[in-house]
Formats: sequence, C-alpha cells, structure tokens
Amino acid sequence: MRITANPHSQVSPPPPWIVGASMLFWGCMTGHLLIGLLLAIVVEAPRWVRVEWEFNDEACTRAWQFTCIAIGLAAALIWLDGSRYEALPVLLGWLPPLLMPMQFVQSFGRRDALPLNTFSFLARQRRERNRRLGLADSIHHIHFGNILFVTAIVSAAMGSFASANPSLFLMGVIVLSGWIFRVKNRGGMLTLLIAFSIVTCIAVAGQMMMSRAYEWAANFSGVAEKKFDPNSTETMVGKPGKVEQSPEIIWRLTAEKGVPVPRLLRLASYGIYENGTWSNERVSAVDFKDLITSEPVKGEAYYLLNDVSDAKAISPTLPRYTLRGAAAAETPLPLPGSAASLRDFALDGIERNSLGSVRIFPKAPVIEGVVLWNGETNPETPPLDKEDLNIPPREVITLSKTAKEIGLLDEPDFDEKLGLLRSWFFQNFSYSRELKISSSSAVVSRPSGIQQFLTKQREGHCEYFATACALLLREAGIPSRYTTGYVVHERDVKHQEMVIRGTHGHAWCRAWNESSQRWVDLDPTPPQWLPSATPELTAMQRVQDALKRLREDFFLWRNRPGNRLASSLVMGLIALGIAGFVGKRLWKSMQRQERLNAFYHAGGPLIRTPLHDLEPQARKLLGYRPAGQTFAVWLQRLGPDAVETALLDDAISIHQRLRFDPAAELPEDRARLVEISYQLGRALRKG
Amino acid sequence: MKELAIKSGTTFDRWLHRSYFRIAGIKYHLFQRLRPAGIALLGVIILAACLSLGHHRVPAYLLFSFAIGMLFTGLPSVFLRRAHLEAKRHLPRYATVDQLLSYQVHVRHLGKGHLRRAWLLDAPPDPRPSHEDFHHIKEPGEDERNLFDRKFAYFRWTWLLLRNRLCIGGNAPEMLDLVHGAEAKVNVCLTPLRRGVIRLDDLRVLLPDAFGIFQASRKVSAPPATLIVLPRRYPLPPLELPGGGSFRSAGEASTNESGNSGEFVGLRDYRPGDPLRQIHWKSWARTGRPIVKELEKPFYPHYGLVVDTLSGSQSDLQFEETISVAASFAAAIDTSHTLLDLLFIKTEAHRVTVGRGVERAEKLLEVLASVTPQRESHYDQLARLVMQYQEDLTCCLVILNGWDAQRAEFLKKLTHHGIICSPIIIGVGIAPEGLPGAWLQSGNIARDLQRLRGRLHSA
Repeated sequence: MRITANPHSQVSPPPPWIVGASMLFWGCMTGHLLIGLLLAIVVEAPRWVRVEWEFNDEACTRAWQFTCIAIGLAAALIWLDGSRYEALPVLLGWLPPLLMPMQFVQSFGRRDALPLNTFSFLARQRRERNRRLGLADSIHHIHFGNILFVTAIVSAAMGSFASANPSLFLMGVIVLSGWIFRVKNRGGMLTLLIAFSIVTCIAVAGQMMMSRAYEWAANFSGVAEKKFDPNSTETMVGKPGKVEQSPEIIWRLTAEKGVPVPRLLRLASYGIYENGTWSNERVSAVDFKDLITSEPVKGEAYYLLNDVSDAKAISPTLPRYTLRGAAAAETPLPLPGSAASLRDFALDGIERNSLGSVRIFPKAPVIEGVVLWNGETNPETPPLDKEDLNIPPREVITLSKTAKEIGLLDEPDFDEKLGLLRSWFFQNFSYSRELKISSSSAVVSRPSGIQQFLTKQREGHCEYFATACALLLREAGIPSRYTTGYVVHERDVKHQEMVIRGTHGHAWCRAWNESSQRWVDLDPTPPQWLPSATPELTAMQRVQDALKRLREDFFLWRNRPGNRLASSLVMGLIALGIAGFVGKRLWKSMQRQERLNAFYHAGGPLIRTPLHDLEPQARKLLGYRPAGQTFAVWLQRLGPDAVETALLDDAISIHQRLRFDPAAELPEDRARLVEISYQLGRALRKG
Repeated sequence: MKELAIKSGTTFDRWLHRSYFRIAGIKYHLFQRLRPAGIALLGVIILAACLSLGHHRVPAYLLFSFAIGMLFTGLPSVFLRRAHLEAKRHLPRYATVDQLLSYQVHVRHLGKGHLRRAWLLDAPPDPRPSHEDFHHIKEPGEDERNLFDRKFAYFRWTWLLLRNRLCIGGNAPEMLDLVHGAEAKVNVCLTPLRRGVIRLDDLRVLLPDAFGIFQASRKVSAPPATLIVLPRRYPLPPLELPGGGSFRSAGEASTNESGNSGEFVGLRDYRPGDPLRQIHWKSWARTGRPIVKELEKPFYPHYGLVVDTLSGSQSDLQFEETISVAASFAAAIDTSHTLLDLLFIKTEAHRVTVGRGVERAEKLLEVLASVTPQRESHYDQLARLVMQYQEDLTCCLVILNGWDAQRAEFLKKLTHHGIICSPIIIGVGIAPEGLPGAWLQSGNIARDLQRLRGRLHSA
C-alpha cells in the first residue's frame, strides 16, 4: 500500500513497514535483535492495533522532553560505564530505542506529522511570543518515522555485527534505501538499479580510500591507535624531538597503610635491539598462554603468575595492593617484576608470555583487583643467550669501549656491576625530554643513536638509558632485557592512593642474576627525571581526574554483586514508576477519547450508504475520523496511491447525492455505489 | 554630523536588506532543488563524517561513501533533466483565506521523448519585502528585543517574509507521465494565507533524480493568472438585529406595508377615500359594484455594516479577525430581501451597497478583501459617513477593532444621532466592564460568535 500523496512534502510518511524493517536492521547490526524486534512491533503495531490518542502540541513537547531526559541519562550511564572516547558513538548506537517516546506519539497519535518546533526550546518560545503578540507564525511539520529511519541506519553503523560484516551492512543499507526510493519516487526499476550499482561502487571504493587515508594519516602523524604489541616497540632513540606524554590517569594503586608498593610496573620486556626498535622473536599467538588458576578457598580464585607452588604465590605474607583502572581487550596489565598472583579481577581471560608480559580480556571496561608481589620468582622464563646477550654489530665497538671505560668487565660481582653502571649513568648523564640526537639506520657510516648518546651527547630520556644499559650489561656478560612500563611515584594524599599517569610511562632494563636465578630491575635513568614525570596539573586536568575517578568508582560500585541487585532494583522501580505514570495518563486519555468518540459517532449516520462500509478499512490507513470532519473529506485523504482518485470522486459524488438530494433516489445510483465501494475496498485490501 | 549618522544608518540598512534579500533568494533557489530526502542525506553525511573522523570504522566509512555516492549520482540531474511544457491555469474567481484551493492546470508536453517522473509546482509569489518596507515597518514587539536583534533586524526580516506570504503549497500531487504532444489536466492545490489578490506567474515543473534527492526546476510557459482571496468567514448562529431585521442564510422579506403604490396584490371592494385611479373598471363592469386594485409596496430592511479599520496598537491578527467577522456578516445576510451598506475608511470614506437589485453579496467580500489597516484616527470621518445615510439605515452593525475612548466616543456620537447601533467588539482577553455590545475575544472568535445566539443588543 502506497499512501504517499505529495512527494515534495516532509510530512509525507515513510512507506509502510520500512521503519519496522529499519528497526530489525538496527537490531541485527548491533546484536540487539530482540530489542530491534520489539521496537519494530511497537512502530508497526498501529497497522493492526486500533489504539489511538489525540496528542496535542503539549503532549508532543512532553514526549520530546522525556526523550531528551532518556538520552541524557543514557549518555551519563554510558560515560560512567567508562567508555569516555566511545561515549558518543555508543550513545548514537542506542538512539533508536531512546527515540521511541517520539515515535510512539507519531505512531499512536492521530496527527499525520509532528510540529518541528517541538524539538527546539527556542522555537517554542518564539511561537509563544508570536502568539502573545498576535503575529503570524510558520510551523513546519515532519513525520517522525523519517527521522527514526535515518537514525536507525546511522546507528546500525555503530554496531559490532556491522563492524564484523561490513558487506552485510552495506547490503542492508542498499535494500532499505532502495525500498524507500522505489516507493516514494515511483521511479523505474532499471534506472534505480543502475543508480544503485554506481553508488555501491562509489561506496566500496570510498571505504577503501578512507581506510587507506586513515592508515596513512595515522602513520604520518603518529596518532594511530597504538595497540599493545608484545613483540615490538619502537623507541625514540636516534629521533630528535620532544617527548610528549599524556597527564591522564591510567591506573591507581591502593595499599594498606605500611604495606609497600612496587616502584616499577612492567608492561612488556623485549630481547632484541636493532636501530631504535626492541623486539623479540616469539610468535605472540603461541607464546601467550592462559594463566594457571588456583582456588584454595571457595570463591577466592587466584591467577598464578609464576610456575611455583600455590602456597608461595598466594602466601598471606606477601605484600599486596589493589590495582584499578580502565581496560579494553588485550590490555597489558602493569605488574611488578616480582608479581606472584592476582585476585578479584573480573576477567574473561588472562594470558602471560614467556617474557613476563600479562595481558587481560576484562569483562567490563573498568577493572579492579588485588596484586600479590615480591615473591621469590619472576613471571618470565630464564634468559636465552641468543636474544638476551645479543648486541647489534653496529654498536659492538662503542659498547666495548664504554664497558672498558666504566670498568664493567673487571667487576666480578653481579650487584657491584649493576651499582657501577647505575652510578656511572647518574654521574655522567643528564635527563632531557628534548631529544637532539639524530641518526639513520640507512646510513651505517653515521654513528647510531646509542653511540652518540654514550660518547658525545650524554643526554636523553629513559629509552636511551634503558637501551644503553641493557646493551652494556650484555657486553659485560649479563643477560638483560629492555622493559617498558610505569614508575609508581605520585601519591594522592587525599584519596590515599598512588596514581599512574601517562607521564609516568618509563623504560628500564631487567638483568639476569645467575646466582639467584632471578631477573632484577635496573633503572639507570637519573632520578632528576621524576619531577618532570609529574608536571603541575592544570585546572582542567584536575577536573578530568576527578571525573575519571568518579566514573570508575561509580562503575565499580554499581557492579559489585551486592550493589548490582540494589541498583537494578532501584532503576527498575524508577522505570516502572515512570511507565506506570505514563501508562495511567495514556489510559485516562484513551478513556476520555473513547467517551468523545461514543458521543460524536453515537448511532452512526442517519442515512447510510454503501460507502460507509469502507470506513473500517479506511480507518486502518487514516485512523479515526476526527470530530467535525465529514466522511467525504476524511475519505479523500486516502490519496491517489491508495485508491483510484476518479473512482473515489465518483463514489463520493453518488454518496452525497444519496444522502442529501431530496429527490427520490435512483436504484442504479445505489447499485453503482455498491459496485464502486467493492472496487475501492478491494484496492484497500490489496494495499 | 547628524546627517552623516542618518546616512551611514541607511547604508547599513540597505546593506542588511540586500544581504537578507540575496540569502533568502539563494535559500529559496536551493530548497526548490533539494528535496526532503536530500536534507536527510546531508544529515547522514554529517553524522557519518563525525563518526569516521579519527576512527577506523569501516561501516561508518561505507555509510559516508554511500551517501556521497548518492549525492554525486543525483546532483547531475539538477543540470541535465529538462522538460518543455506549456500550460494554462483554470482558476476559480474566488478563494478563501486558509481554505485549501484545488484548481486544474492544463499541460501540454512539447518536448521530445517521454516525460516521466515530473511534478508541477505553481510557485507562490516572492514574499521578500522591499527596502522601504524593511526600513519603515517595525516588527510588533521589536522594542522588547535586545540591541543586536534590533540592529540586525533579522527577526523583522523573517516576520516580514511571513507577513508577505500570500499562499503556501502550489504542489500537484499527481505525477506527470506524458509522451510528446500529449496533454493532461493536473490538479494543483494551494492554501491562501492572506486576503487580497494573488498573481500566479511562476509555474514550474520539478524533475527529480533517480533517488529523489535533488530535482531540476524548470519554468513552464503559462499565462499569468489572478485569484481574489476573500477574507476568512466564521459560521454565524441565527441572529436578530435591532430594528426587526434578521440575518439568515435564506428567507422571506421581513416586513411590508400596503399602500397606493407598489406591486399589484389583488382586488377588493371600494372603500370611501380610495383614489379614483385605483378603481378597476373592468371588475366594476362585471360585478356591478366598485372594485379597486390593492397595491403593496415591499419594504426591504437596509442595514449598515460599519467596519473599524483603524489598527494602531492592535496586532495584524486582530485586524484580520475584524475583517473576517465583517465578512462573516456580509456573507450571511440574505441580500435577496435586504440591502446592506458597507461603510469603512480606506484612505477616504467608502460606502458600498449590495442587496436586492443593486449588487451581489460577493461584491462586499471582494471589497473587504482589499481593506488595509489605517494608522491614523478617522472616526469623525466615519461618523459623518454613517450619519449621511442614517435616514436609509434600519440599524447599523458596528464591528470595532478593539475598545478605547475614541471608539466609545464614536459609538456615542452615532447613538446620539438616533442611529440604532449594535456593536461587536474584537479585543484581547476578557471583556472590559460596561461594554456596550458583544465582545469577541481575539483568538477565539468562532467560539464567541456561537455564543451570540439570539438577538443582538443595541448600544
């Protein structure tokens, strides 16, 4: 059934069933198929359920205010749920259900369209002013189904299924838009097919170009979404510039009073150095293995980080702290080099590789758990000579000279060697975030970044120190690894916790102690770098910190088992209360309307004609006949798409003659009207 | 110095008017070519662009590229689609404010090939105000606006645009499907917004692209046509006026008198005193006794409809309501048995009479369609006009646009001269104390008119 009469009008409703179909499409693409189905039923229900309300301007405004409140609450919840950067897309993804109050007014109201000033407070104020001053006003109307249709398509693009199956998403968009254009424009099928073929080619080519452009721009500007790569990390060694780090809080540590917290938290370790890049040769997919779990007491599950006995890894004598922060899938967990086990983290999975890096798959965007550390062993495996003693040929001469200069080769004791190296760096080098050393991997004749750092410049940031130190240790015969992570330095006195920001990102090295068969941390960066790691916070940063803390704490509070039930109950009660309030108002309004209908349509027309038999069928398309509107005028709203206009005009003409002409009725008139009514009824049924 | 200031103000004014004028023109030009689907598509492009920016989201990229593809596929049709048509409008003589008017346009396809997917649009006249209007006419309530709004007068411009709009619509719902040389009759619908004369001179054919995002808008050769838009009329309840007259949609003459002149009614026996010339000689010869002809002179009530056209502090809406109330009475009276004088001031005093043997009632509506608000007080002139014809008038229906001292004085003057006046006053809010007549609240005229059931009271 095509009921659009005026293709130029914004009031023109979307073709039947298409809004429902768009809801299903949204449900499929976002993985909320059940919700999509429910929305589709609500949107299309007026086609078979004859429930209508007389929503006036005030009711439309209330529905919009209700929608705005729902959007606001959803935005707050999404934001509090930790998706700070994703909050807007996530909100957009949920817009179709959030816009339902407005669609309800459109679907179940008797209006063909809603006034556009419903959506703007200023427009409503202007209308009031015009009314007060008796000025003319121009109010545009819009069918909300059109807005919902467009919103559903855009929201579907945010869905996880759409991301995983972009070709299906594109197919859905083509089908839905083809459907709407075919019905609304009454164009030729062939023209539309050709046009859609061109558009599809442009869409695919455009998508590929945009993906390429994104990759190019990300690489060029260095703002690519840097995912944790346990196999490789590119340092700034040999690259001049300024080291920039975010002051945003990333993790927070809380320990009981008097219990120490680790100074360095490792994210990853690497064994092979080449031209400013640290890497390892292990295959990530194979090297990462699920951690062993232990549950000594029911309900207390531990993730064991070392291959030692349970008793040692979960010993109550081990110092412990609580780690809290936002995390996504495959997030590396910052842990001390001597971490023993983890507890209370809500995770879908946790893995560790042979270099001691631990990555997690959290259940929620914010995680919290307890870390037990200072155990007797390390999470990583013993050194491999091939990797952990490897020195790049380009650096061999400089490192050898430097090691001799320091006297590293003459020192037999492990701890003495480490102490010597640390004090040499502390005394002879200075820390700077302004990097001046420039080198090129392509021109081998030029001194490398490490060579310049060790012999000439003697100034740099932590990556220089960690790299140089790791290589010097290897020169001295000690297996070592380059390690990245955070330094635990900033204490938040007010909240009694240690705060880890982006500026606390650090690099150091780990050396293998043959006698104790353990890896130990060696941080050669002079301690004067620490003040620069905690710059004076701006007011904006303080606000952001407070908001982040609020968001994370609220999220964790809400998701604690005890609170989850309570908060669900409270929210459910509020929702029920609102639904009850709205339902009661709607029920009362319907009762009032039914009384009015009974009053206006009591007994039906005094003189019935065969055309009156069409009323129930026409009502399915047009809704109830408004009070005061004649049957003929109401029926004419069916328009040329629903029935043949000439036939309808003919029928109305005979209908009026039978009703109002005082002359005796001609039998052929009534027979003709019966025939036309039958034809019209058939056209309405066919749709 | 003062002269310089005035001059610079005028220059700014001119610049402002020119800018608004051009922007409105561009906006109209664009929106005539961009269909609602195009606006939705632009929305999708903006949203998809925002979602794509800085993130690697393949579906968002696809959506953006898809929308851009549609944009570029549809856009050429604005320049490429053409149609060569000639048409003639078949307009009725009258239309009424706010009443949907449907008329036929006879179209002939002169171009080559088959014209499909095309719609007619009878574009309403350009509502953009002239610089003089923009400079001189102030938006009601403009003094309440802030300095910026007063200086840039954007709201004045939008108000004037709305005020100048004579009609809306002009769309033909039926699609054109014509082969070369074929003709068709197309129904076009428009809704007049203001009374007066509408000149239609911009018939266009709209040719959308395959998606219906854009459309070419080509002018159709058609002779211009004019339409007289009558004021809005309200339904009136059965009313009786002081003086024995009644407003009915149809009926008999209200009063008559027998006498020695007029139309022949019948024959009767002679009575002493009957003039000799009334003796019917043939009947006397036939009956043998004197018989006279009885004549009857019909009397037709002669009403005055006095319309107050002064609109100083009153809003335009209230003035239109005043005219509409006058039009409602003018249209409701049965002019086959009465005479009706419309008395009003439009620059000068006017009297228009309609009724039995004089003029059709539509004439009054036509006149009322052209009445404009007067800004200077004119009650002395109006009172003189009414008093000039007071001998002819059975009673006067005085439609007043508001109530104040000068209107009260005007009414008092008429009644002191023995004119039976029945005032109907249109105003804002509730009726003031001691009002001599019926009060119609602005905004609820139809409701208040229905409450006037019965006899109208004289002042």
